Amino acid sequence: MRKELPKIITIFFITVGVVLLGLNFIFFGQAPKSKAAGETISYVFDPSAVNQTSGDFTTSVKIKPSVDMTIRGYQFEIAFDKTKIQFKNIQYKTGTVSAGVGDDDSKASIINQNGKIKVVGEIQSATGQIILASQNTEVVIVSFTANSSQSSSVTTGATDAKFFMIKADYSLFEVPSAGQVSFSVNGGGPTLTPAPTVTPGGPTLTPTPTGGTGNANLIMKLKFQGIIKKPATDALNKLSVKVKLLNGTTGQETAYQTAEFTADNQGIWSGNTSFNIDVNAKYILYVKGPYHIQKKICDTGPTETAGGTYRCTKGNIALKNGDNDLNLSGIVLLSGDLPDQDGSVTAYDTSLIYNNLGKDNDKCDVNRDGRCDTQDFSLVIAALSVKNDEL
Amino acid sequence: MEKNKVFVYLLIIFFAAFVGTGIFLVVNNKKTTINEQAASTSIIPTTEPTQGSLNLKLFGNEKISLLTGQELSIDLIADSNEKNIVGYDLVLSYDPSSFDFVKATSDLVDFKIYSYKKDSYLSLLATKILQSQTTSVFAQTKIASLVFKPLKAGKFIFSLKSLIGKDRTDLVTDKTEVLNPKLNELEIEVF
Repeated sequence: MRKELPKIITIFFITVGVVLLGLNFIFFGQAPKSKAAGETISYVFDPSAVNQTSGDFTTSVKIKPSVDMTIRGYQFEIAFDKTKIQFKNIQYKTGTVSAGVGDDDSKASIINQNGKIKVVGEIQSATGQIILASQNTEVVIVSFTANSSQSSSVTTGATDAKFFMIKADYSLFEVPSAGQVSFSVNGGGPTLTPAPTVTPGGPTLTPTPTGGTGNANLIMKLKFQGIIKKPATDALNKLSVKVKLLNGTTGQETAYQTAEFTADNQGIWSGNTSFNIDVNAKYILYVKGPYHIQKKICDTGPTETAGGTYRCTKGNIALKNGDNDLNLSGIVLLSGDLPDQDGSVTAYDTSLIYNNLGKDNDKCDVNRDGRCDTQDFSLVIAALSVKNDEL
Repeated sequence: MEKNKVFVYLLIIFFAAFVGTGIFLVVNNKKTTINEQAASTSIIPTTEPTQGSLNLKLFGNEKISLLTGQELSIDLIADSNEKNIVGYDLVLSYDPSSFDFVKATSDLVDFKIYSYKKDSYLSLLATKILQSQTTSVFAQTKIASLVFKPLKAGKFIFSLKSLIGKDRTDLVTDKTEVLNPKLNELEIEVF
């Protein structure tokens, strides 16, 4: 029997292992994996149009996720032309308004001043709320009062719209919008460029919808905190920067466009992108670098006395059809919001650098020297006077 | 003799299968308990399924009364679920018209706190200093003190929120894992 002991022990452990593996496969092998990539939320107005020159009208914002998911909260904006319609009231149908953060009826006057409803809601249970990919889920019902026969549009689902999904590991994941959608008032369409001047007797031209190559090309120069020369390699000398415009008159903003920027020997980054816009309006430009806090810029040649201190409120950027040179290198874009960006400098950002010191992790190489090091950490710490994206 | 051997092996296999099933059931039961706890946690608005905790404490009480002008110091107590923390964020909702935020100080020498006074809340970002050589596992550890000055009499709530706007409350580990801690709130009465 003593001779058989090793054989018995081996059989024992092998059997235990096989049983554990088998049971684990049967019960957990098909467990849902973390859904943290590629999901989107589609927004829709229901109804999507109204013809009304006066009086109240109502529409719902409904959403449909690309896959079934459990959500914990959401935030998005509904923009409207305040000169043509006025906000009346809002009802949150999914969860409740986040008190003090989301807009409700008590903020009607501010909403109508800005032409924008900030919808922020939360599900008040630890388990969240399931939303299905097979059907539209009503999030809010909004009522407006029409005061003009002119056409306009209400938009939502811009790139900063997000739902907070609870993942399998109980962490939260921000699900972005699948794209901006519009509600047409008196025939208004999705962000149209003004009708070109038509010579009497000439051909009738129709407005061009947003998308594709825009009528105004922005050729921009930028300066990023901590980068004082051209990065050593071509791979490092490339930054994807998000840019959007806010029309100072209507309060409507474009979707973000992403532009590739490259640096010269002085560390000035150049890149361009185009927008379909009304060239008669004045604009605010929002620029967000891949490691940076979003900067709000109201002037064509902004300057500042100390890095990162430029602030503005009123859009003063006039744009024309064709090329528009914007030298924005008189101000510095502060770092801090590292990938994956959430619009705020948080402990995640500082910890990402802290935990990768000495490594060549591109996610925390703020100064583009090919390494994640104490310089990157110091840059983020030095920029902590600004914590959130400028809006 | 040969038959006896086979019988012994079969007995061993049966016993091993029994033990293996037992181990599986015990482990599985533990996992379920953790999930059930997360799902049934009684929460205040905006809290999330929890890992660890961040709590406001006041001389060991959840309620306190004090006089106008008397400074109020609130302790921040953390539990990190045995994980090593290198940074944390905090969102504290309070009534700024009734209390002036004075300062936030770290009780841990390895951490530096940056505070941001917002319209209706206070946001903190704490990060571990680069020179630190120690691990920071919080087990009901007092990590910071928040000082306020009452401006008027009444009953007020100081409430930790998991998310307000783009600011959030969390603990970040040395693996850059973001934990959503269980939160609480305090009631303060000012005379």
